[in-house]
Amino acid sequence: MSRLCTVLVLAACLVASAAAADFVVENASRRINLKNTWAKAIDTLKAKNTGGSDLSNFVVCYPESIASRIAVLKVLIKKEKQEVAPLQQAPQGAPAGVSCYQATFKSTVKKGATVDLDVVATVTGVFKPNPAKIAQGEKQYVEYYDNLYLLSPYEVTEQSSTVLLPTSDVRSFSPQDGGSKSGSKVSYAALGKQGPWAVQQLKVHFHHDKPFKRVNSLVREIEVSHWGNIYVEETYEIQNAGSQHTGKFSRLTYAHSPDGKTNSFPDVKAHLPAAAHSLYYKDIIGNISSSDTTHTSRETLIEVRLRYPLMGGWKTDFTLGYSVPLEGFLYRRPKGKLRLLMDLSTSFDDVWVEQLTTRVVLPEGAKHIKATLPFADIQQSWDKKFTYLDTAGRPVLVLSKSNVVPEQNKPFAVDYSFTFTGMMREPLLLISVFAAFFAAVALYNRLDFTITRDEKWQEGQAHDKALGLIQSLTEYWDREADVLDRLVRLAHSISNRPSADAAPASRQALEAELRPLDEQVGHAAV
Amino acid sequence: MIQSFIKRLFSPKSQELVLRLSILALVYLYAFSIRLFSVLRYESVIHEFDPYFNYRSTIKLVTEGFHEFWNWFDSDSWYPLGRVVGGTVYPGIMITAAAMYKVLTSMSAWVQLRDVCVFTGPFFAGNTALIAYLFGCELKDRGTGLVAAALMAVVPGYISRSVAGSYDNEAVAIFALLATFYLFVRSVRLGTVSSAALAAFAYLYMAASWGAYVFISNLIPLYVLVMIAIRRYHRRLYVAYTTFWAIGGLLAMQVRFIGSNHVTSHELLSFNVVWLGLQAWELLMWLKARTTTAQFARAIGTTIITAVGAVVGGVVLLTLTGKMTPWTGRFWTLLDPTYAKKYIPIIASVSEHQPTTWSTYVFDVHLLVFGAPAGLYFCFKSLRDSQLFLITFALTAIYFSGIMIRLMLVAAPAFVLLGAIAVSTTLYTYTAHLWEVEPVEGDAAASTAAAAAAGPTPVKKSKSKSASKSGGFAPLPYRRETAILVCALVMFGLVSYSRHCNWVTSEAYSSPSIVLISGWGPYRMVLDDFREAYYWLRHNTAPDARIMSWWDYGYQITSMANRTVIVDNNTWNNTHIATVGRAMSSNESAAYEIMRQLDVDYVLVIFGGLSGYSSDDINKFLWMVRIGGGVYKDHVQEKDFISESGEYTIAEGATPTMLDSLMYKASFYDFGNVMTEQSKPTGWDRVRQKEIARKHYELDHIQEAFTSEHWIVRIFSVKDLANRAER
Repeated sequence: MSRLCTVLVLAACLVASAAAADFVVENASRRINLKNTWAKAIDTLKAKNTGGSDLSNFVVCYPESIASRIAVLKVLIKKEKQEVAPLQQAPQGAPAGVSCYQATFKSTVKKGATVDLDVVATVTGVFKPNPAKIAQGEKQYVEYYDNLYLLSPYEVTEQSSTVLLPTSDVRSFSPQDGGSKSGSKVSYAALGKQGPWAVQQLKVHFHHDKPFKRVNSLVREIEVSHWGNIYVEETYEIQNAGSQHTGKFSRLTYAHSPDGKTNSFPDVKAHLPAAAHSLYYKDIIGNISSSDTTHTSRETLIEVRLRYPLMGGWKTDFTLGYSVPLEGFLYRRPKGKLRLLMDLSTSFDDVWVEQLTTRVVLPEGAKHIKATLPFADIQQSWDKKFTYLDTAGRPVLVLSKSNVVPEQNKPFAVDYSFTFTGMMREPLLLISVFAAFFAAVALYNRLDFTITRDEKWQEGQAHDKALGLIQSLTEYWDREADVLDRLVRLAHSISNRPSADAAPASRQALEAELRPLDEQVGHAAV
Repeated sequence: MIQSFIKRLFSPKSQELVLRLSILALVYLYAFSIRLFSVLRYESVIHEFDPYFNYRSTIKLVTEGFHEFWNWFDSDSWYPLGRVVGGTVYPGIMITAAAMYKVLTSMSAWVQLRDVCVFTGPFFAGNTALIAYLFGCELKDRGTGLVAAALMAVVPGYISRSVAGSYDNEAVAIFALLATFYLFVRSVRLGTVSSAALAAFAYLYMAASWGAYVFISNLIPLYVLVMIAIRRYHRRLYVAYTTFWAIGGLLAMQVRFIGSNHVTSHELLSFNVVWLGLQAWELLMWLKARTTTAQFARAIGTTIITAVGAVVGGVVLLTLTGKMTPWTGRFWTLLDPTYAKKYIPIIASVSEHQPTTWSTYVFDVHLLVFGAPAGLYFCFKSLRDSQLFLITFALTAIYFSGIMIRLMLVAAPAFVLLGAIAVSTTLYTYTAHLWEVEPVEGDAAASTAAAAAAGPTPVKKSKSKSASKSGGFAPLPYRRETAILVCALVMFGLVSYSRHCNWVTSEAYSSPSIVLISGWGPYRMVLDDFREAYYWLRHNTAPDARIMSWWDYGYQITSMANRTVIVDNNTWNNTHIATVGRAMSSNESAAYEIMRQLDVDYVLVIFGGLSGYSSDDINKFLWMVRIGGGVYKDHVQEKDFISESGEYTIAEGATPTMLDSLMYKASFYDFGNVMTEQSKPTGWDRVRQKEIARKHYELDHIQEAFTSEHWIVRIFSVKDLANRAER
């Protein structure tokens, strides 16, 4: 990051000193390729050093609307990439709304010499649907705006611009003068000599037959397990960024009419490593039952069918996961270091990613972690993740980048050190937990944990028992007294004849009642 | 030392222990793994309707904490009324799953909450089998316990609600129910306060889990009454019941949904009145011991009359003043099976509230249908307190299960326990004869197949015993052969039971019902339309969009689509449901008015005409009409939907009201242009096997917003009011 800053500051200083007129572009040929769902502008330039000294810097500029959406900007000399950095401040004389970049050549351009440059800009999300909303069955038209001329601080002697379109259905293009349409191509052959900062808006309004697959956010999580596996889980939110669908969605039309699908798409395709296995494809409410994989020796092709076809503006999300073995992705380095080599971004075709977050989860105990990244504008931060049997959490290196196109799916490397003891930590943890558990059980079975029955306890027991006995004895005696009392009353009542007749029976009953009571008293006494 | 250790290891006692433990472990595993068909065949996903609500509540509980959950007012359902979820929910299963999740994560096993919920059912099935073991031990002996555990593990009646993914109250409630019964029976035997308190805690778990806790709190008083009636009443029962009443009642009242109902509801009247009665009885006994017979006789008449009069008068007075709540419709249905059909169509409309057929009994308990009467016989033969409890439990549960299919769940454990007693007693009797060399009268000590298989020791013992005890009886011929035959028959029965359970689980109870699979092998078709449509709603409608659908799908929509619904499966407000039923059965413009009033943005209907999915809305439509007509008598009438020939049809001869209804128009929109089967006309409904009557029409106030791939879910957006025409 700090390196990037220095570069920027340096670049700014350089530009301030470098007068913009040191180069003259003798020939500029612009080819703007709009066939894909993002634009690719290739400017082939022949520049001559007309200044008084050798030069090693070249400035390229774009309108702000395009510059803010540039995913990749490459300056090539004979197919060799030169270093490019954005300029904080546009050079002097630049009109408003222009952003510039400075390329630093590897070898200087001698005074009076010419150099052949290829400036390639990949720009996403620059197609503006017009009409913004279409009904099912209508065609999708989009507009593209750019500068007709090479937007440059240098004088351009001769130039031409060509716009390559996906279809020949072009509603309009402007300016009309000097332009001609043939097939799916709009070209401005001879635009003549222009001074610096020549500005004229180019607008093309045309039918785009490809669905715009935009991944709003992608979170990739790469989890390394030294037991032989690397888990990759990618969570996508994907949206159709083309003309919005309006009105009704008829399944009948969708399924049966040729134009019912309009600008929608039902699936995306990904190229996973050939060694990928244990694939899964789900979202937060469960598996998505429809997808197809083909294994070849070079790759694993997975056709991910979304839950529903995405009409314009519709979105959905899903999670795709797979595992790859360590071989081919994790390498041993000198001094016990390890290097993980993985791709940075998505392996889906035809999508661009607005916000990419790649999380590299290293094993617990990994140290001296250092990443080597393919792009300067990737932000790094740290996090912790807990999975099975983690106590301190695994270190997570979080890489984030915005506006990523498939060609930027480059490998990145993470170097770290990890010891064998760290690898044995989890099994040892499990073993020790189980050992402790069994030991505890064994100990419990062999030791007597009952509270000691000392004399005091015995005494208390005896006391309680005696109390209970006395209570039950009292109860029996009460009942005995009651029966005896009734016997006495019976005896008293033998004065009249009827009761005298009944008396023996009553006496027997009362005696029968008395007998068990006696027994019980006897029991209690024992 | 080593020798003594080995000796101990091979002593019959330790062998029995090892054998018993390994049988229990196997039973547990069996109970768990038989319920995994759905996960293996489909995926780890929550099933059906109610489990989705439980799952959603569990997420709330885990992410926002107990306090938020307890006070949860859910504004995403029953729009615009909302629902006080915290106060109308049985939180047992959610708290269970959340606790398991927390424990697992704290032990650094970072599982997903959904997986915890999915496997709650199988986990508790294993626990229930263990409780059945303990109950069996309590009822008779360990052998009975083992048989009960094995039978319980796979009884289809319980599997139906506890397969993996069936994250429903019943999964834990049956465990709680059996645990309460077991602990109560145990406390009746022990007669201690602590054992009864334990039973009370099990009762709390049950009360927190399922509405059928009322069954417990009516069955236990009934048992007490039975004990009194057959003169088996004793002080231990008094201690057990009184403690259970006091602690259990207080605990159950802590569940918000129950609260003071535990005292004031008529459904729990017997629970409280029996307690009062017991106190009165004990008071009388106490008085009797302290007075003379004459005094007692004089006092008793007036006391009893006054007391009964006071209780009855009090109850009547409290009911009339509204302090006590009378029996609810569901309860009435249990006593009078025709009640719901007459008065509450919404209860009758649920398929699991239908009366049970005989085939269901064979399907759900199989062998035990025949085992249960035998078990009852054995129970009566050696009547113990615990067995008397089982008889009371079984007879009531079997009666209730005949009224509602759903209550098969409660009857299943009763069948299992009775069956276990029958099987184990039979085996116990006959295995003793198996090793007899010469025909001698036996009275074996070898308890069960398990114990008998443990080794030769018990056999020797039995022989010596039988030799000593056999007296004047002449031995019957072919005893050994008969024993072998009977044992073989029982084994055959058990094996076929187990095979049946496997088959039922695999065929009938393992479909998550949100994913449908038809055909197999290369012809396998996966219909994932529900989730397709719900996910579409989740991502492509306004976050506050309100969805009107029949109440069956309410829980699924709130959970999977995260959108507001008008009505859902918690059918607490009949009028609201009737309003939706009325909207569905009205013509488009009348329905539009209702939908405008309810702020409805989307209408969702389930339609099976293209795919052949038979439980769709058209087949449920008559219930919507009935429920709607139950409240809005002037607007919706069932006869308007019945054709002249007296059938309910969508084909030729369907009534104009039917063909104009919102339900018809939404279900069959565009369907008239589709060829569904070869050599059939367009618009051939594959569920009803008829050609629809009205084919080509446009919709005025709603428009098709989404239809899933196989047309099972159709979603229509409700249009705004049209601009006023300019003059």
